[in-house]
Amino acid sequence: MHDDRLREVYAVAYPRLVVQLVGVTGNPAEAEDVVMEAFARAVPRRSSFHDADNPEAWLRTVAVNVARSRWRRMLRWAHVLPELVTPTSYADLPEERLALLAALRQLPATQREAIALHHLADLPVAEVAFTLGVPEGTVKARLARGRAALAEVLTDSSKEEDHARAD
Amino acid sequence: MPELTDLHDLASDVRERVVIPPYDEVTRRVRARRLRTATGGIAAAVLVVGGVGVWQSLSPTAGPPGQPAGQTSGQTSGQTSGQTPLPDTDEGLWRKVVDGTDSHPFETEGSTDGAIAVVWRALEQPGPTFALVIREADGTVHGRRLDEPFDLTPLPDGGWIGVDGGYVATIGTNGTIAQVRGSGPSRPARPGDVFVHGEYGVNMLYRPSDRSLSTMPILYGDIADGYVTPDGELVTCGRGQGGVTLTVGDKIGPNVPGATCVLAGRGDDVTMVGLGDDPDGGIPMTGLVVAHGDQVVQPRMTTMLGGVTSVLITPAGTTVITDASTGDWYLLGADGAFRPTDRKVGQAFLAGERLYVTQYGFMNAPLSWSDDDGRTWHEAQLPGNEE
Repeated sequence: MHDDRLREVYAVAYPRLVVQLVGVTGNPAEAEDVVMEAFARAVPRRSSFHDADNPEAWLRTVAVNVARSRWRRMLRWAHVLPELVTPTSYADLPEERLALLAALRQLPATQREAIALHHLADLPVAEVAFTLGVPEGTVKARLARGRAALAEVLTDSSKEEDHARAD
Repeated sequence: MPELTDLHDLASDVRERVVIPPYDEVTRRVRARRLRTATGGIAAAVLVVGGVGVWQSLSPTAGPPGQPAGQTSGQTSGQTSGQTPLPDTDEGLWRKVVDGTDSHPFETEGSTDGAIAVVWRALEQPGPTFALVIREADGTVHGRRLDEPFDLTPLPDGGWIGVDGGYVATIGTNGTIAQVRGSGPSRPARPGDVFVHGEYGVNMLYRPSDRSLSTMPILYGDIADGYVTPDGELVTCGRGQGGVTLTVGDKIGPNVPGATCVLAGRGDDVTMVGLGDDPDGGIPMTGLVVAHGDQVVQPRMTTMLGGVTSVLITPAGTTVITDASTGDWYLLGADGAFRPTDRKVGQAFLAGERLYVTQYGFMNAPLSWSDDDGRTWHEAQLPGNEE
């Protein structure tokens, strides 16, 4: 019974959750892995998953927490740590999208999570707040700071590209 | 130039490319975890009866009692089990991670008795794999495959407390692992308590004497890090009014600018490093406070590090602060004078009386260690990379 429900949710929610987590992790391969990990963690937690009003939101919270835990460790070594091998299905992502993912990775984690879940995943502020476990006001503040920071990072990247072309 | 509005296009581009793996991949993960847990239970029973570490030991001198040198408990269990899956401690399993695709140390931490632990990560498909490898001070190596990596905090009497999400366990330097269950209500700190970063930013105090966890007492500010002195005084730092603040017991100390902070402690010496929150994602050093008992000083610094990877205090009282992103680091002697550094380093940690550093820019490179606060250096392999 539980397994049937999880299978149903898996078939429908897996792609959506990967899209939502791509912004949080800044990497499609990491996003697929943390979403898969969230489903695997749902299996032994039958009661809490089964009782959840919104199973997809439950899975999203678990996936975000797995991503956070890994991000914290990776911060120390961001400059030398190799990335997960990106599945070939994402190999043809346009350059601009890759640049956007790279820019997202440069944001502080709290701002990146808010920006990804609200602007990329289209979740309302209330749902972002629920997922991240913070008040809505905090999400709004992180969104404002995150938008400004993202614009600055993207502008800087663009200037660097212009300089490189000029050279 | 991409813009914020392009996030919608990014979402649809990714959505078009997501290939849903068969549901079997979920059940494969769950099954593998259950089998490993079950086998771990069997191994734990062996530990109680035989008094032998459940982890695989690769002693350079001799194997565990009752086994020929070079033959390990893990191999024996795996070979005689037929259909029984190999225990996590089987050398083949953890060695596969250490030797795996783009394998690298994910976490490296020393123990007060001289042992070193490394959490290795390999970038396999469909997901990364992890292993914990410990080398004791006498060279004996223990390994274990992990489902998820631990965050390691050294314990005063040796070994570590490991946190993986909501799972907390003590990890002995001889390879034993024991879950610490639950977290009780807050209580005053006592000598021997250890500050632990828990899940979702919830900090805890671990009491080794009765293997119990408690939530942190309510204190001034937003606690980011902490340390318990040998006298049981709880020292914390966190964001308060006007920056980050060092608090000793109920005495609120000096402020430095910053959004968060990191603490290191040894005996009655404490170092607090303030950290900023740059718009570009950087977390630069913003200030330094050093306390020797009641004497608190803010050393004058002409330049701050661009990032902070590790902060520690050596047995001689020298504060070490490293930035693995640039290789730059500071050595602040107990006399309050900065010492010049002649090499770039990555992370720094203590194992016993030795100061260890990882090589700047090369995660798999041998470690360097010093027992005279960086004046002379010696080389040591990473646990798992022994020849």
